Amino acid sequence: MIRKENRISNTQLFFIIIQAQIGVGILSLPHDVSLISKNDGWISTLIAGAMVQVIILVLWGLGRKFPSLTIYEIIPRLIGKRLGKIIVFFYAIYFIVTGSLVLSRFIQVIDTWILQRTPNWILILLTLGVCVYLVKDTLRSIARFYVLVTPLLIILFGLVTYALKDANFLYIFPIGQSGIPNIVKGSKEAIFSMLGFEFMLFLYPYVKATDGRKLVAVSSANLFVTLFYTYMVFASLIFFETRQDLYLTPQPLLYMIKSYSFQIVERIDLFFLSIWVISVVTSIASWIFLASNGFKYFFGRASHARFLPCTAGIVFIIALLPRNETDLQKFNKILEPAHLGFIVVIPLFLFLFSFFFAKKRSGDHSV
Amino acid sequence: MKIKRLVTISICILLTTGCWDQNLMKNAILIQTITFDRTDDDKFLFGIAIPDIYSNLLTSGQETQASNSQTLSTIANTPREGRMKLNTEIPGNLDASKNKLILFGEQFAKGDIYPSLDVIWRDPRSSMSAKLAVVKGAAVDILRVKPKLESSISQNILNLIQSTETNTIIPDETIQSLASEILDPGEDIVLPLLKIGHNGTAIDVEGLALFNDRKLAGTLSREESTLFLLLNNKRGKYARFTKNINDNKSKMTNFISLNVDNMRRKLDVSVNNDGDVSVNLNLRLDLAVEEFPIGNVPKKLNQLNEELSKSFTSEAVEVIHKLQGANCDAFGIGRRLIAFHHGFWLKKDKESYFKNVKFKSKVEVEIVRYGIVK
Amino acid sequence: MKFIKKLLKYNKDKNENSPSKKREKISNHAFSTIKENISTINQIFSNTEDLVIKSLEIKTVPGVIIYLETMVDKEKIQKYVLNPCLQSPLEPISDMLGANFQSATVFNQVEAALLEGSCVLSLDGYAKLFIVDVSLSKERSITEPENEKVVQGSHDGFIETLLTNLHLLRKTVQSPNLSVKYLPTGTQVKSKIALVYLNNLVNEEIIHECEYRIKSISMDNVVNIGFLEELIEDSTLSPFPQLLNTERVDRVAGHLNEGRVAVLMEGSPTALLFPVTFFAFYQSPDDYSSRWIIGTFIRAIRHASFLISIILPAFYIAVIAFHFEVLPDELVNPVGSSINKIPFPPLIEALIMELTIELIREAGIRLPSRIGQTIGIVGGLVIGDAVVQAGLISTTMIVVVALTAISSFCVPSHGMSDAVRLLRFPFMFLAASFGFVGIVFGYIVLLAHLCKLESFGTPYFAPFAPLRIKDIKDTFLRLPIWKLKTRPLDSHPKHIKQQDPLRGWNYNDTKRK
Repeated sequence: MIRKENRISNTQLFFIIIQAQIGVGILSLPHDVSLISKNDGWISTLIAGAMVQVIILVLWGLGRKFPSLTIYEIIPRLIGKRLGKIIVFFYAIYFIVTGSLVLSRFIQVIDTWILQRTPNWILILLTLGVCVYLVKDTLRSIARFYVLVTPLLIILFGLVTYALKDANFLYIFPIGQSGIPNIVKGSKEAIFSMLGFEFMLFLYPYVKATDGRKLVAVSSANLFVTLFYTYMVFASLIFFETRQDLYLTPQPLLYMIKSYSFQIVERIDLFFLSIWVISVVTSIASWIFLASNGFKYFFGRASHARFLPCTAGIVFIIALLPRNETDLQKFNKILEPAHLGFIVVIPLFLFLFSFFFAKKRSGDHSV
Repeated sequence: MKIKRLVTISICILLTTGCWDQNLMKNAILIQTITFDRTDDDKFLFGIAIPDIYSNLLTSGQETQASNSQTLSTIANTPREGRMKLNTEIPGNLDASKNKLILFGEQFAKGDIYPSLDVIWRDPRSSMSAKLAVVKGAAVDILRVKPKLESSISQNILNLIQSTETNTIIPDETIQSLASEILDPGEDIVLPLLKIGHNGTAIDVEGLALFNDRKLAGTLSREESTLFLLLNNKRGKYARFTKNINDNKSKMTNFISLNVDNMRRKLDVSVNNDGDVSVNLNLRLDLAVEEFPIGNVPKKLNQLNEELSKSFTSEAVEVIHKLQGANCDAFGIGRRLIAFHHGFWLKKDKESYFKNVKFKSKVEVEIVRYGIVK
Repeated sequence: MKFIKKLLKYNKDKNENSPSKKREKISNHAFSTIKENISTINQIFSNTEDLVIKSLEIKTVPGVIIYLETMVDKEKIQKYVLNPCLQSPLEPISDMLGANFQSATVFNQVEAALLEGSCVLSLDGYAKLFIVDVSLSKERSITEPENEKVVQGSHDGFIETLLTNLHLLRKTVQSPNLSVKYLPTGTQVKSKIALVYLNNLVNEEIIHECEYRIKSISMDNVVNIGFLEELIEDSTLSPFPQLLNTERVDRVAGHLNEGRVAVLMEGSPTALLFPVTFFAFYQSPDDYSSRWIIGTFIRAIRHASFLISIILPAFYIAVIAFHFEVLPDELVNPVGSSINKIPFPPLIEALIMELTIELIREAGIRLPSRIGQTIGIVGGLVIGDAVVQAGLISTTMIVVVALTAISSFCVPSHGMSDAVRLLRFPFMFLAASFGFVGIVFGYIVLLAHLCKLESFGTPYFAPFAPLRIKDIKDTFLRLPIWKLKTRPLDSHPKHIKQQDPLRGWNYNDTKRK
């Protein structure tokens, strides 16, 4: 039985998915995308959003078939207990590795921009401590926190908009110049920044709403994130000259607002970074939460909190491994097929499998 | 329970060990201005202006503004090396995070200015709202000027730049807004041109320095600068002109002083099949008469409008001529070509496309206000 | 080793001779002879010398009257017991004694009654003992509580006597739905605790939960309501109070009307209210007596004071020590020159000043009022000025610390003010170690903590988490009274819709037209 303290509402689902998606990618997305699609990066972002929407439909279909089971329960049910449990374990490992990669990139940015001399492992430890504290209690408290911090995104939006007074719209033209293949390749980069929607695989049974409304919630979250990211990419593209200037700035958003000052404060990028830290922490916390729940189902215990220290420990060790940008790139490349596999291939396979082999069950669920 | 305690204790210990990134303000000597120069034997001269340290040693509890500035300079290979060298001459750490002014000497500006600015863009703590300017002669000399109205030379120059920006003599740019323009193949930058005047006691804004592909190539005088900025669709709060409407000599009654109230600029770039670029540059100005010694504006309104339009148009042609002479595409024609006529742009010679652009410019003037008397 | 064993044995011995075990050796049932009754009661009261035993005769039946002379009003004894006994010719004692008497057969009851100030009549041959309430009530007058003054509004406050407090409540909330539940607590010394609530509004689960928690308390002596608060609240580790303390009658009445429960205790003028949210601590009855625009403005200032008092010193330390490029150019010189000669790093400076302020605050509570004011002004000015002159602390630090101290006093509730005072320090340490990033991490932990905290099942940070836009009308803002049509949801009251339309005369007028 889903206990009362784990029930969340549809609106909370909407905000959770937004916060899980918006994370470390937002800073480097404009740069990464424009490396490939040049000044059509914003089109790539939109296309990426559309692709994510398709994946969401597949995930929703799977969730609809088993409305009271999380992904960790669906897998053993469809594939069989032993093999299913192994796959659940691998899912947990996948989430851990993704979380570590995100954490590592986050620390790199903090290292480059603010705290150059502080040893990385201390920052990683601090972040993990905060993330663990965030997710160790019920899903409801996590949802409340995520809802609470989402309005801060408006400040980010406002800061970037303020910078646009020095924008030059001519940099966007000519549209479509990079050609379709480049644009599509660019959207592959963009999708990695939009990861986080797979949280819905786990959240599906905890939300008290009809199936249709859940789809609307997740889709609107995806729409919001897509538009938000597209706006950021667009803003970077009209602020920086694409080929040389944007090429040289790995975190264009920060650079944009660095030069502005208000009457009372100067380096606004520090404030942007401070708010962004909160978004990243929520993203990393979602992955840690998913991973420890995976372990919970694998070991068959009652609460995920016992696995948090161990999960955090593994994340800590893995996050220490990449030492610089090239290591991160390598890491990213290794992880690409994993993303594809765990988020697209396996759920799709399960979905089709369920069509042929299992009928829709609504009754029993496990905690 | 035990693990919880262990974690809590270790976190507490961590917090007490360190403040690795601590950058105490009291240890930092804040650089106010930096200058880049090229010496006669082709070496790079790096100069800084810092607040005069000794004047801060007043009775404790009293606060004071840093009243004077001290100038230091050294020969080095790059700006960062120059700063490291000067650091050893000063008690305290040189800190460039509040550096608001970057000056180039004339000789230095004739070379590529981009490499020297790299260190400013690379350091996360540098101030991106710094202003750039070119100094006639050696930039480091300007730091030795003792200004009368303002306490420090940096503050003096900054205020000067601010007021001339308001008066539409120089464009409102910072190092951040210039970055994209410097790197843009289809656009060139213009920087304020300063000079030391009044026998070394004051600083003057002489006009604009025109750059061709990051190298100093020409100049514009003060009046030309104002008109150029208007042609470039950039207007500050005021844009003032004093024009001679009668070809007679410089008797006061032959002049009129105007301020631009409103303006509208149209810029059309068209390319014909041969790849020749022609630009239609039309500027429409609504003027307010601020000074007319002869008097009685309404009577001569049409005549004045005609005369002034002619005068402005010929001056605009002059300005454009100078720009083309210096090969300084400050209008961004190249950028428009990239945006809307991409095919033609790819075929053009990126170095000299601007010289071959045919400009057709026209300035239309209308006097709309003339103060509280006729 | 032997020493430790001896200590343990000593503890065990003490427990074995505990009074509750002693009780079992005395029989509980009343005796028919006066002598046995007297000796039993004496034994129960450990032969205390203020236990007075007087013999009297009622219609030839010998009897005794026993009372604690420190607890009874002698006039009442005369009026209610002795006079009727001696004057009336009627036989049944019950008729003689009139209305306020009880009969008891067990010594537990007698003991409790004597402690409360009743007198006990024991007549020879009767197995029953008669108890008459003749207690002496010396209570202080009803005045406004010292710590919760308001500018406009009622100036009534609770006093130490439970019955008077309940009387004040009943007077304010004249509704048949106002229910009172007595819960005696404490194993050695029984304290009277009363639960007060509006029966038609309150959520029954909360009542059950509270009763369960109070009944599960096994403590010798619940000394005051602070103990009780700690024993029944959800999370004692949290710095934030989860029950609202108040001494004001109108505040309790207002909260009761929203479906909350009040706990009162004999001997304490403080009432505890639950379930409360974070924002309840920032409401003051003042808001409702003034105009709503001003009310909203003042409330906004109070909420800003929360942020200022926690984050301002940390922010200042982070700016001075890590990111001084945040200061605008015009400020760099004044601030820079003021901290130039200071020998300490900013964190130490801040700690010294904060601790000094805490010392002044603590001392100020105990100073007699006449000296207190002078010392406050002199101490503040002189210390502040002298310390700057000596070059120990910078002037900007003094400004920051003073602002922080003032804003931490803006909270209408004492418990929350303490919490805020405490929270400054972790933030300062975090800022001194990691700059802005440290402050953000601390802020995340703080927010997460507030989101998790629950007061008797209600989320502490409602209406922001979970988000209920309708309830914001009375937390952050103070919308006009005629807009407050629904009750806030955090206490899960049974009826949400409160009243509608409030400005009926206006509403009906427009309808008429």
